[in-house]
Amino acid sequence: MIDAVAAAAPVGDVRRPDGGRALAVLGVALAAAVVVAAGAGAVSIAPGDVLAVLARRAGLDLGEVSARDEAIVWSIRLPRVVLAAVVGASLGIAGAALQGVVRNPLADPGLVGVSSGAALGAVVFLVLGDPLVAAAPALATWLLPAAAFAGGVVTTSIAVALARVDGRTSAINLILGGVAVTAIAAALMGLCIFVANDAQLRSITFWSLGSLGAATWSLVGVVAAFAAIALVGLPALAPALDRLLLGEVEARHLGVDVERVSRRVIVAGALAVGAGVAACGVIGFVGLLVPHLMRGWLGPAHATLLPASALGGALLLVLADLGARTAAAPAELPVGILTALAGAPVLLVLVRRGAAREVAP
Amino acid sequence: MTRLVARAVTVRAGERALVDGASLAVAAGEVVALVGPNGAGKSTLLAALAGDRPLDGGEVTFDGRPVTAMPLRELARRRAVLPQRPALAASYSALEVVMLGLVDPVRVGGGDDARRIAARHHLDAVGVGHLAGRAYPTLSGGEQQRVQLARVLAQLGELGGRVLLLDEPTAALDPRHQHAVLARARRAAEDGHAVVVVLHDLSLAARWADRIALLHRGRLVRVGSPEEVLERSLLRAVFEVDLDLIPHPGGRGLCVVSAPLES
Repeated sequence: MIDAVAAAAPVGDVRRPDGGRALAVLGVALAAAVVVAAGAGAVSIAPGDVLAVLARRAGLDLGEVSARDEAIVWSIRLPRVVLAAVVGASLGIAGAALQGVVRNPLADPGLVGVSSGAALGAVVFLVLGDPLVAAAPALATWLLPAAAFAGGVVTTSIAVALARVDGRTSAINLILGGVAVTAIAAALMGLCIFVANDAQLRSITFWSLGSLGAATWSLVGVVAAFAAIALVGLPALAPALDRLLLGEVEARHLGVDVERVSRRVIVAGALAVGAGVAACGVIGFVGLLVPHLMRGWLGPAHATLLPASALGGALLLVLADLGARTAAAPAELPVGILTALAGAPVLLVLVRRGAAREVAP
Repeated sequence: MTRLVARAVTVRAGERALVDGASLAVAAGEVVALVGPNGAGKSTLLAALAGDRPLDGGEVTFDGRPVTAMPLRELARRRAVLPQRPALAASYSALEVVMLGLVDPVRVGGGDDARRIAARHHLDAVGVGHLAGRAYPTLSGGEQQRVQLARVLAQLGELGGRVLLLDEPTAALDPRHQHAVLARARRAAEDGHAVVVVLHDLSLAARWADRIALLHRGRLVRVGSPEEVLERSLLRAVFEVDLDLIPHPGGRGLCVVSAPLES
């Protein structure tokens, strides 16, 4: 990939902002976005009052807030905003890590089949999972994300395996493999919908609307537990992912177990994305757009790129969801429409720049 | 001390033997040039020496231990490999590329500044210190090759006693830098490393290698000093060109002049 720095200064030195400071900026921006988003809506609540609610929950006193406002912020809006942040962070970091492991900037969770596999896993569970729920009702909230995770691992493994030729990952094969597994997943989902009964059909429809509107604190907890594995585990792979950019053989020469790294990235990515898909349907392009922007800004080193993509993904999805529920209020746009509108042009630019031809980002 | 030993190494692709029973021992302090026509199996043999691929016969050992039994991380501390066509499109700076080679945190120290200084030192040592801040994809082919050499030398570190494998390190270089790179490889040998370098230019091999290993259709047909291996009739048979060997006017090495065979 020709990133913005290299393109702007073909013979000059590489200049990069300080990684720690950039992460701090993103973190502050995310916190501000969360507060603003939690205050915005049909009932507008000032940022100071949102902070007061948060402070009271933490046992501090920052002033009085009406019980109604507190209920709106704490019980209705914050779960949704935090869910958006967690899902966005998962998509961002999973995209950045997948792109590192296949050395291609086109590896978005939506394009390589993680999302469609997760969606298939979720639908199969909604249709065939009743006996499981009956057997273990306490685990019901966990079973849907687990099914989505399983689906995501299977489809992504297939797409990545199809794309690898002679130890190299061919971008065109990766995209075609993603298209193929997505098509198969869509067909199988159609089959599931065909055999579903009315009650199952209703839950599939409700789920596939793909909104963050179903957020509750317990749902946030389940999704965050899955996401935490990716958010904590993937940054540990940063040195290996950096070396992978040199090439698979070269990374091996430097002591990187390429197979193990790519397996871990696929599993962690599918866990995080699968949980997000289970909670709010397929949200595309966050995993493509955010790492691309972060790489242009901060450079390719994964120690900064992975956390920056997580924070950037969280920020983007919080803002996209804010837009989705306020732009056409009182109606609510599906948030995936906004992320696709922002992300699809980036895909076009990347293809145009020839990223699709090369194996390296 | 014999650092690197290959015993009857055989690598097959299907029925065809790419490398067929190759045996070679390289001592610490020695530079061995691997030469032979295209498709003779040079890169395959080098990959076998690096521990990159399972062997279909024989074994490769470093200091007596089989490479196939070594964990990747230990292997990374014992040998470094310069690939033939280093491809890297990510916009790392040259310095950052070299920092990726610093695999041993014990020796370099964990601090980022220490790593930067170590990487800068290795860039300077191959004469590309002035490119440290440049984005790697904007460098010329020859500059990229030298940056990659610096990365590989960074992997070897300051201590001797390792194995350095170079696959056509002079391919993209002008004559001055060809000699500079091989002089650097020579110095690595003097630091106590065992060096194997794949070369196409027989004159360079004669000038810089202690011994030359001549590979033909997967077999090592002769291994010995440049004088022993660079023999007109042997080279004519292996390379299928007319060759003349002229003592270098400077007094050291041989000039190898080739012409197509009259048929």
